[in-house]
Amino acid sequence: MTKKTEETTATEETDPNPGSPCEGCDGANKGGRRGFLFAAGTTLLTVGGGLAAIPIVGVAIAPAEASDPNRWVSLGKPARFKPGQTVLVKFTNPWDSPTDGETNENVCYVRCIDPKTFQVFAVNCAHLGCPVEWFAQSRLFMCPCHGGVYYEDGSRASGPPPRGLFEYEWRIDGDSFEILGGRLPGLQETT
Amino acid sequence: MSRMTRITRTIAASALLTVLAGTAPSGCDRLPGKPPPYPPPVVLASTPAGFQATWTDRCSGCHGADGALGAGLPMRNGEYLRAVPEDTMFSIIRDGIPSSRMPGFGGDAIGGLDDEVIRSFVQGMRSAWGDAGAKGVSQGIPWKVDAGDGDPTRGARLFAAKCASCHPSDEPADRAVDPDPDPLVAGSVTDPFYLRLVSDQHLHSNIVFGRADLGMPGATGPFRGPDGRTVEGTLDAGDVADLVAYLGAGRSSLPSGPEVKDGAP
Amino acid sequence: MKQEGNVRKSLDWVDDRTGLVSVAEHAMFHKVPRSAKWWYVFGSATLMFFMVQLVTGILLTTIYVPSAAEAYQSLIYIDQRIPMGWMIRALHGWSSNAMCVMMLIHMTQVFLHGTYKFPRELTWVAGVFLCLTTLGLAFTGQIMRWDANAYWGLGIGAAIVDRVPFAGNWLRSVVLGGPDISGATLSRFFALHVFILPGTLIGLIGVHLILVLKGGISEMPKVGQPIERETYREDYEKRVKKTGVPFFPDAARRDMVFCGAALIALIGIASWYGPIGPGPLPDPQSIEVAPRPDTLFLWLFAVLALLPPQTETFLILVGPPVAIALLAALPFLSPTGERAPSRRPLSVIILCIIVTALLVLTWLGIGSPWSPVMKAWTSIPTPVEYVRHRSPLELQGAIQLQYAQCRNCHSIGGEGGKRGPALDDVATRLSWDQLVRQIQQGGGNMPAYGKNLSSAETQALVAFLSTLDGGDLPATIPGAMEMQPGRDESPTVDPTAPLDEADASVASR
Repeated sequence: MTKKTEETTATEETDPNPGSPCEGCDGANKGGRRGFLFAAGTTLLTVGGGLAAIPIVGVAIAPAEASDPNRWVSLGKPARFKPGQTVLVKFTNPWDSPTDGETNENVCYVRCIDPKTFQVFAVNCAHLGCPVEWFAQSRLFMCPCHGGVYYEDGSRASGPPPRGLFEYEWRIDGDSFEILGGRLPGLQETT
Repeated sequence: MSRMTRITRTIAASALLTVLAGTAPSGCDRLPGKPPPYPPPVVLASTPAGFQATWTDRCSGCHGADGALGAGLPMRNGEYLRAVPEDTMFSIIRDGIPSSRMPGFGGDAIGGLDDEVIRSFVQGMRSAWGDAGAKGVSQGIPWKVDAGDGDPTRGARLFAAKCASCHPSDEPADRAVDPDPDPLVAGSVTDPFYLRLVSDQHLHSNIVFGRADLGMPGATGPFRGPDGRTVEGTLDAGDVADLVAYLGAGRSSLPSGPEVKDGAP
Repeated sequence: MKQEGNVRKSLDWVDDRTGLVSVAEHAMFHKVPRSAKWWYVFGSATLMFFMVQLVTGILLTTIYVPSAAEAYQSLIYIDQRIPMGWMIRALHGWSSNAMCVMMLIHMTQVFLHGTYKFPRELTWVAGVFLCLTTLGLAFTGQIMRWDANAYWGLGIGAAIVDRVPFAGNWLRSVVLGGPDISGATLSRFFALHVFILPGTLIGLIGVHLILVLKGGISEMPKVGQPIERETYREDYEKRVKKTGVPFFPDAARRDMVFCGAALIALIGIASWYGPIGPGPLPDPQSIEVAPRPDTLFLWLFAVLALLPPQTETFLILVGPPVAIALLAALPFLSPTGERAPSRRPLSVIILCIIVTALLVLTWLGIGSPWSPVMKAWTSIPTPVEYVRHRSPLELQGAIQLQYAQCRNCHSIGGEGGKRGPALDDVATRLSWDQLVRQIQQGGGNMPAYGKNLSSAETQALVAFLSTLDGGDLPATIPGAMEMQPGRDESPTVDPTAPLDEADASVASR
């Protein structure tokens, strides 16, 4: 009962043109001032919305559009690594923001084969990214999540990982051992 | 009348709730769900609880849940703990023993302990087990092995007289077949594979300090002779050096193919 | 009664200006079937817990700092320094679990009673999206804790997104807010958890409730009263008009009792178990962590461990959308017909399978037998029975078993990893040569140790393993041990003998 009153009131107030279900949708097809206003409104709103969307969408997906975040990061002198050993090494992510806190620190495994030959592994398991732990005794990397295991050269030994450990590119620049770090290693990487 | 009652009740209930809400903060802190203080209080490894926790976490796997009856050398042995200098114990725990199966638990090891923690752990171990076990087992022989001044021939004679009865050179009696295994017969220590896995220091420590948890005497004996009778008489430092020299000579007694150096990374 | 007249007058005035009062009155006093009894309380309870979430959540945002550098400390501050702050966190955390549980029970009930059928299809569809949004809130809530589990949980999410063909890398950056997990990631998930998802949820709840009012509360299903498009609406309205009762207070009484009891239970659980987390710091440098999701997502954790690696990417990416689509399409797949569970055996069987699967997977997730026990090698001693009566070489083998981290995956004496088989009776299964080959070459999901063990180490290890014939363990099932091969000559074949011997040796120690 109340509803009915409501409906009639609404019709009386907003529709001076009884017979057409609504003003706009009808007016769009008509020529004249009404039609022009409707077309102008639609255009202006579309243009305005499009303009507004540029920064909105831009900021929302900006991180993905950023240029290559990888930078050469020094891990210290090459001499700190002893042949035959694999060690966990800390480094600061070159891609950072002021509020990153602990997450700006990062780690990788450096395997020194001989003073000129290295392998640098990401700690993230190739299965789903959990941190693998190096066991120097059995010379294996083990993942605590789903049990992926890797040999000391990073190749897959057992478990669900589809491939071996991710590797960072490395170089020796003068007296500095550097890796190309910055982005979280993932399956869609070349190395 | 009914309305008056209702109003009175409402007022009473609101008053009660206010009182509850007011006193709750103090009461809330006594509820079991209140989180423990942060950061959690540091339990020093030198205290019994701290020592036990670290021991269980890092040592019990090889040295036994209670410091004895593990596969490795028992630490619940006051004589041994007193004989090894604190600094040596510290560096063994920190860096491990290369070419043995004692890993390092400090330094660069993943999740390694800080130096102070290891030092206080050593203290904790001494205060927990420094008085455990029989006294005088080692006959005052230094804990550290002397390199290469033993006489293997004399060692062989000593071994035959005092050790061979429990450590026969042949395969140990098949536990499954022998219905009543001699509990003291512990199997061969002249097996070249065994000898290649252990250092002279390991042999020395075992002979001097014994393994009371497995029924092996230290340097004081008593030993068991070839005829099964008890042999009185103790071992002195020279005897131990001779025994180690004799056993050590057996390491290369069997030829073997190329292999990774034992235990070395 | 003059006072009540005034109240009515004011209400009428508000209604005249807003129209809201009549809507509310309709919602409160609309007629519902008499048979709507205790089965129908779970939806209200879900809503009630969401109210708790809103209130406690808003309170938490007044103190929580959504910055990767400070989030953890602000949580500690809430727990330790704000009077009763921990209680708000506990309520928020446990109410989240309770909301999910109530929602799942509500959904199960609707499925079981065939309530989703004509004309309530869209109510179900809105419910499916409510379910997804709620699970999304639960997942993002885990991230707000910003501890090690949150950090590595994000890593897992990133690794899953990364598997999307072609766009994976790009999508991952959008999700993480950058090339790596960082402050931007927390801010993104904060926006999701605090604005986007709750906003969506409130909107969906509105739609869901409007649809419930429009379609009317369903009756309990009756055998032999199938739904037919032509007649159902008319029949339903007739029946409700005749025998129905107003929602408030007749039907609402049960909801009120249940919600009240559930609320008190929630407060009890929160004050007993306290806030959930935060765990260790989200420090990528401390890698000695074993990330685990909250209980609600343990089944997912189990699925990810158990999927065959070859099909994994396909199933992870295709499975969820297909499952969600099927769920949403349910009312269109079976829009009419019987509602009674006894006449819908297929639905009941499917429900049983899904519930059993989720429970079993959750149970597996709790134990996670596929995960190596990372500290087993130093923290779980060789059982004393396996140390006694072993030769020096065998004892070196026992040390080697610890040292080479074998026990991270293999148990002896019931302790250790469960990934590989228990080794207590390995000697009854593998000969000396087979043991050597297995250790050297691996296989059957075991790494090859050939390069890392010397001949002496292998010899010692195999010598020790060869002593593990099951004879040192007391028989848990009397007589069962005799069935094992190679035990006939064993002195411990008499089930009482080893026990006595063990007792004696323990006593002598």
